[in-house]
Amino acid sequence: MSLSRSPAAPARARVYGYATLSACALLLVATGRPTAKALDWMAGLGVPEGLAPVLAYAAPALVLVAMMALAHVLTRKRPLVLRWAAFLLLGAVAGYVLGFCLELFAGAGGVIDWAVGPLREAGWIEIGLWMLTAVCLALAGTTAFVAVLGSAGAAAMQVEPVAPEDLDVRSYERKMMGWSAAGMAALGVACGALALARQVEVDMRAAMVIAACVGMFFNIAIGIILWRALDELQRRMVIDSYAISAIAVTAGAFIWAAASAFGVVGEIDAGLLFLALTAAQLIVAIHITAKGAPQAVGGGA
Amino acid sequence: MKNRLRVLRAERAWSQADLAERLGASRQTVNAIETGRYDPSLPLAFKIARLFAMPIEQIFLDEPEA
Repeated sequence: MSLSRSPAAPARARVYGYATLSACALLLVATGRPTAKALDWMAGLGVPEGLAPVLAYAAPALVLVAMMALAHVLTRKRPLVLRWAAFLLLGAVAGYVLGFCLELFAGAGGVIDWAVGPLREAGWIEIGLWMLTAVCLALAGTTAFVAVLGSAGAAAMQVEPVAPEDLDVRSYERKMMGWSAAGMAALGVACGALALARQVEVDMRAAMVIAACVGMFFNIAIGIILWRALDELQRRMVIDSYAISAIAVTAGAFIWAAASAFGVVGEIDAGLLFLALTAAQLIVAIHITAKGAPQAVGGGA
Repeated sequence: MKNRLRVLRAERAWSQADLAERLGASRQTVNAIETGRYDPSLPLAFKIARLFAMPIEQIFLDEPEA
């Protein structure tokens, strides 16, 4: 734990954080293929034919890191809500550049087609499930990274100044993070398999549903293991995140039900309900974890 | 609720993680208590008092909020 005792650790950690972020951006970009739209646009600007694909790969990675750095500078010492908003807004800018320049995971379609056969076009619920899958797997990856590497891993994930104590990751935290990563990965598998179950041909549907059920079973089982190992504050945070998301989704479902009485919207799909509840719970849990302690509900009194 | 946990911990040269291990709680919880963002349950408060060999009211100060 020498890192946590060093006063220079937070500053160093920020440098490591940007290096990690850049590496992740490069890895993400590497999965892509330049879009015809971007290449045409660059050709219109007079960019040489050989240079255009290189720029299509480089620009998104640079913009992603630049937006992260800009968000950090602009929101220094600002309230958490403002910080989240700035990160989302600037993240959306980076996402637009990424989507304009590259078709990400270009080879994934072929692999899925080979494994489960042709898919029908994804509706917005399936797109939501795929997004949730990506978020869960990304969170599982980053959590596993810290679980495996401990304090060094925590330092490598920081892009903001942190107290030296926050980089003191010991065996208890590593164990918990390991379980969290496994649970998150299982949820990702469940969401992805559910999306596939809604898109594959009839003969493959049962296999996808079984995969989704297995993923969900492991997610719940790991959730129980984690719950038993959590201390009182952590349990409070879990309860708060479920309570807030349940209130939000119940309110949303009520508004939907009221609107459906006028025929403005259709009936709620079970997949949509699962998506809404899981996404809301994930967002609230991330927000509560970022704040570090329950304040909105109960205030720890 | 204010408390003297940070001072008591510093007097013993313990890190937050050291104290968390002794209490069987997470470092996150110790941090939240020290910064006043979380008031511990009675069992945890008694555990803290036993660890520092002090009465609870000498660690946690019942001051009205401003």
